[in-house]
Amino acid sequence: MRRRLLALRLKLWRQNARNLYRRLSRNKPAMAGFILVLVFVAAAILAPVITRHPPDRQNLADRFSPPSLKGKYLLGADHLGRDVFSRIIYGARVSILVGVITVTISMLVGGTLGILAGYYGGVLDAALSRFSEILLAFPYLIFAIGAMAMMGPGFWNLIWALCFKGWVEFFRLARAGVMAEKTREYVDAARVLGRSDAAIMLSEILPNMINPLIVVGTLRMGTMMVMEASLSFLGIGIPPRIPAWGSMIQDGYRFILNAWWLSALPGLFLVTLVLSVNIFGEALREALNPDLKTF
Amino acid sequence: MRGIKVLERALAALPIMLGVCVVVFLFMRLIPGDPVDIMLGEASTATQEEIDTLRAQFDLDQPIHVQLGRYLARVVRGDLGYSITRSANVSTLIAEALPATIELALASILFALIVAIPTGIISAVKHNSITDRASMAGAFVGISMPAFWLGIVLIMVFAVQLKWLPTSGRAPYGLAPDHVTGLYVLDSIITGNVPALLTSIKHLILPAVALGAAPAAIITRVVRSSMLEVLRRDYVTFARAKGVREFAVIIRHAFRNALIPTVTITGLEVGSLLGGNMIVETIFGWPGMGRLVVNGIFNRDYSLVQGAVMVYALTFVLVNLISDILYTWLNPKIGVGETS
Amino acid sequence: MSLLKPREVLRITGLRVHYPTDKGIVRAVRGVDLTVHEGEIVGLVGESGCGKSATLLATMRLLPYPGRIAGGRVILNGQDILSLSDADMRSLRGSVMSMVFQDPMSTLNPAHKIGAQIKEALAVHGKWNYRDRKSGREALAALLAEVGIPSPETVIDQYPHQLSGGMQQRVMIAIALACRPALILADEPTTALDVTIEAQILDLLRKINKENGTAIVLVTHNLAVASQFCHRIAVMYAGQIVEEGPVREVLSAPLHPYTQGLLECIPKFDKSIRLNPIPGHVPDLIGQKTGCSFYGRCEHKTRGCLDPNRQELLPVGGGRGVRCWRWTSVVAREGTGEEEEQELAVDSDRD
Repeated sequence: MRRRLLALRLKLWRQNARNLYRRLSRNKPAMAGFILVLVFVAAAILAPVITRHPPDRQNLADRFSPPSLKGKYLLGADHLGRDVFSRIIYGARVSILVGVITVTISMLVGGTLGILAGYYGGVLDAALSRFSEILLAFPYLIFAIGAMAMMGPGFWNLIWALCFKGWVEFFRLARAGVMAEKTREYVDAARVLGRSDAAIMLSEILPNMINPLIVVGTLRMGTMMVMEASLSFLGIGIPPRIPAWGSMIQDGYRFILNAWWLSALPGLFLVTLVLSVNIFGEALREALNPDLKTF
Repeated sequence: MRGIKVLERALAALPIMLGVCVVVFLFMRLIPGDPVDIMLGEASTATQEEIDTLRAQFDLDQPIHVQLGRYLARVVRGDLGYSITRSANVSTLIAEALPATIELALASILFALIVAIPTGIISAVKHNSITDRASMAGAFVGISMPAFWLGIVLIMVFAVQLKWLPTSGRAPYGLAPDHVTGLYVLDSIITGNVPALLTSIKHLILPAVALGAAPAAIITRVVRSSMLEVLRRDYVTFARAKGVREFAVIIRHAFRNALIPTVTITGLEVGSLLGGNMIVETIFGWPGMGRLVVNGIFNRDYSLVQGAVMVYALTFVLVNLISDILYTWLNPKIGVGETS
Repeated sequence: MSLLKPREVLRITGLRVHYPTDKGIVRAVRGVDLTVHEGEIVGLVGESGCGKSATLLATMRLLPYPGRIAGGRVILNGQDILSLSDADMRSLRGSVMSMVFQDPMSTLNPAHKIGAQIKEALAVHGKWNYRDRKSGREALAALLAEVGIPSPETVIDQYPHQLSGGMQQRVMIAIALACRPALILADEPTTALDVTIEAQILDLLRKINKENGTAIVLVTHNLAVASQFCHRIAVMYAGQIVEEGPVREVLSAPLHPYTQGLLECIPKFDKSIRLNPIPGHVPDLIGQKTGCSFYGRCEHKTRGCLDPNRQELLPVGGGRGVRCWRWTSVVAREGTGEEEEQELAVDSDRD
């Protein structure tokens, strides 16, 4: 009996996935966004292969070379003679990793806490909700800046700092989702069948409320990338040795008059990546809720 | 009747404010390293006696709950401590910087609303037209652009290349209007100082656009989607069936009901504006809270950062409260404190 | 009752309404003719989706996007309104012809007070000429009293959600009545209400009809309501009128198989009679199908029913009409002959 249920569930899930794919693939801008994201990811992974110069090799003779398609530096060289193109590609690694890891951790932590709080209610719920309300009172950037100032620059410090407030959103979403589903009949049915709390939460309730979490998660990746860039811009994000778009913009800011490309180009790549993620995330939201079309 | 509910809501915000103060306090205490050492810097030549005095001044020799109690007592009195790096009371510094931040935030949200509301309404009314698609594409780009990058680009184009607008600052020395509210534009109008007015506005434009672009994009989308939702409703058809002109139908009937989510999101955006403007203030050399906090953090100015962060958070809570109240006033069905 | 033939208030001829969708064009209304005389109450009866609401909306030229009027003429008080400009059409809406909708809670604007909503109906047509607030309020109160609302002075300042369903519907009728229109189009005005309230609202509408001579087109799926309330009735199916005539006669001696089927669906107290639902379901309205739209569900069908030339609405005398070329056999309940039954066995592809 259990096995038949499982098989049925799998079949439904596959059907849903196929429908989702069909709806998504019809949306051209979304597909373009998705492909762009893949391109970025591929470029980041293949960074050593596609770049001609290592990102931190300084060549003072070539300082401030402008971008040129035929010349030595595809997108120019910065104030220390480092290849901008190479630094941008390596910088993509940072942005993508930060985006993905931060969102994943925030979703897992926030989601789990939210489900627990929504399901069990009581003191746990009250305490967590109060705490999250207070955290929400702080503008995100300030919180992150404060945390980074405390801990110093560093990749994992950055992740931690961003997650510290990032989980709140997923907490609230998960909690609201669980509370909406908790009173539905199928939960009672599962309880009557004697299923444990954990099983109910994971296999019954979770699939029904996970959609908004996925959508928000996708959209938040873009936000996290921008956060990372902002913190790096201020010099308290990624340590300066590692190429990151934010610090590149900061470095180039001083030379805005002569070498505008030093600031503009990393920013452009950032915008493009975030835009692609946002477009895809939006399309995902639409595909999961066909009646809320934005396009 | 509604007034009571408003008061209820205001009172409910108090525990949150208290929580904020406590969290800020604890946060600062969690910084690794001895605060006094950090404040004095590494190459300090202070004697042990001086260090002890400093310690006592900051209550650092007391147990933590006493510190917290005294801190809260001082906060309520308005005393936010003393900034070592700036040699002034934190409250004074904040009082100087806050109007600048508020002016920038207001200008940004004003810009955002001026762009977003008409665009959102027109997009909804001309659903799926070229105008609609173009503005949605624009909105997407707007959301994806970090404010500081946009600021840099704007400076590059308008200040450096075209030289139409100044690159930074709030108003050149000597041209600032007399202090009435601290908001230069308002003060210039009040004192009738036209050159001050012009220069204040010129300095305000670029940072306001840089900061307001993302909120504009978000609000546009909310206006559009709530208008789309509302335009489908029966009462819109009914209004047309009464013979009401289309323009009045859109504004008086449809938008009036779409206003509610718009206000909510605007409130949220103002809140995030207060937070996100730190980098923009730094780029534009805007003498506001953001720049104050950033400098304070870099200089390890304990009290300054503590006080500023708290003021930030409290302002945020206040803004949310105001937006809540507005929401209630606009929606006759809901009393304050209920959820729709 | 005057011996002169009462003048026509509304004449719809050959109305067609199309909704283009991804899956094809939905032909919601396929050639509807309807005439309403002064002081007459005409019922438009049918199942959900048969096109009755679309007919009303098309008459008001308020079809929701992407619907459009694909053909036909609508003549209101002698004026062809389909060719009017938007501005001219707007001046008619609410003043000469007004509409009452099904669910008053969603049709009244939740953010405006009742008084303001009624005032708007008057002001838009230049009928709000009151010198001061007091006389304006008196006029509003009078209108609300006319539709049977107690304590109108209070109601003027209330919001829709503060009123009960019946009150809200009365307000909507007051708004529709405000400019003394010649015609009221009522789209299932009582479907969302309790039965007792329904009776009151219908009484109100009847009173308005008698006292003001206002013509009413009542759309409903409730045959009982139609029988008590209307003078004439038109039965719609799949976008067409399949039978029409004075209400007593149509309902006591229906000529079209669909009308007969509808009447047999009504539960009767005699327990020995079983409920007899009409088999099958409403055809989808996409694409152009020739032949009788009721074919698949009809117990009297023959091969000849598919003939596109036999689909006219046939006048039957006494102001009645029926869209069935075999109506004589249907009435006599001859059923199908044996040869016809064999023919039928072959046509199984129609539905």
